[in-house]
Amino acid sequence: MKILILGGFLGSGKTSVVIQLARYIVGNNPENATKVVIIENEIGEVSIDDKVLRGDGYEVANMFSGCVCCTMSGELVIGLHNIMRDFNPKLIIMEATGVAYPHNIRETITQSMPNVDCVVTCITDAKRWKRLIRPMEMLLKDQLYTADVILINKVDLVDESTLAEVETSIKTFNDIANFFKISAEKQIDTKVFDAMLGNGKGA
Amino acid sequence: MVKVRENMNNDIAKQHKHDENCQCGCHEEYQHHHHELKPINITTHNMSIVGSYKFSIEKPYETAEGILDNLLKQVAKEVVNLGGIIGHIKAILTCEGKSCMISITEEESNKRYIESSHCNVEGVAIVFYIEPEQLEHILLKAFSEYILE
Repeated sequence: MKILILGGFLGSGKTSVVIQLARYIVGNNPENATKVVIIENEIGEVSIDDKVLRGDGYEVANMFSGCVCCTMSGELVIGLHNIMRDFNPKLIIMEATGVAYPHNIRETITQSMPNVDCVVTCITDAKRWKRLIRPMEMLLKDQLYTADVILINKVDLVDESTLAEVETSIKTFNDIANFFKISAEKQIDTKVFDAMLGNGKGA
Repeated sequence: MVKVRENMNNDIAKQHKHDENCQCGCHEEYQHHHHELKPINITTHNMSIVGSYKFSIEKPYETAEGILDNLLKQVAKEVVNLGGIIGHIKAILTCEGKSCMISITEEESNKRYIESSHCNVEGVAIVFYIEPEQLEHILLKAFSEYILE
């Protein structure tokens, strides 16, 4: 079984990517739907993203009112064990909160489930990067530095020179990840999903 | 003994209204209920200030969509004016839409259609670098008309 942790700052486009990724995995074969579980983690008293995903016809488990990278790490492990027992999925997509540190989530999972393959994709917002980088530098850096794949999203909303600046800036935090430039509002190339899932294989 | 106390608390909870002078000993339960009913709730998580809100707009969906769009833009503007950083301000708007009452008294049914003009809003505003009280004030000010509806 594989766990894909999807991190990235608030509003970077994580849910838009999850929707397209789920469609890609399920494809035209509804049987594939039973192989994937999506976990939504949201902070606050109100959950939004699970409603968006349910509107697309998916079953979603929601863990909100806390962040699984810190205050709810115990609940995450229990939740994952329950999902594995009840559904035995091939893939779990864990959409983290926009303030979570994906490496903390990976550490929590690999410590209690050493045999689980855990990969991290981090999404960045090209349009807001330059505005956010100064005030939110520590958070953005800690979100990105251990990511296996980094998606630079909303590239259609910036000009080429801005995009080049953004890419250079992001690479100061992590230059070994697999980078892709995307616009999650449009169709994402399937090679991006293959990279996110690792080894060029789907679920 | 413990069981008696639990029962007492349950009975008292049903029979009286709690306030700050209340001696019933079940305030934890009271606070939980009160918290659930609050239309705006502010929490903090690391650096972020999180405002959760729920309210209704007694308008048809198309009108409510425009109203909510403007309200959220107003919140965003005020956060920025105070020197804050917007993480994410988002809300989901749902409308009950069309309803139909079907009534039968003999063999044939009688249908009465009802056009709903009741929309529910649930949302969060996650921001940085302003005080929790400032976010609460911004949200209360923006949504006051609808929270009181």
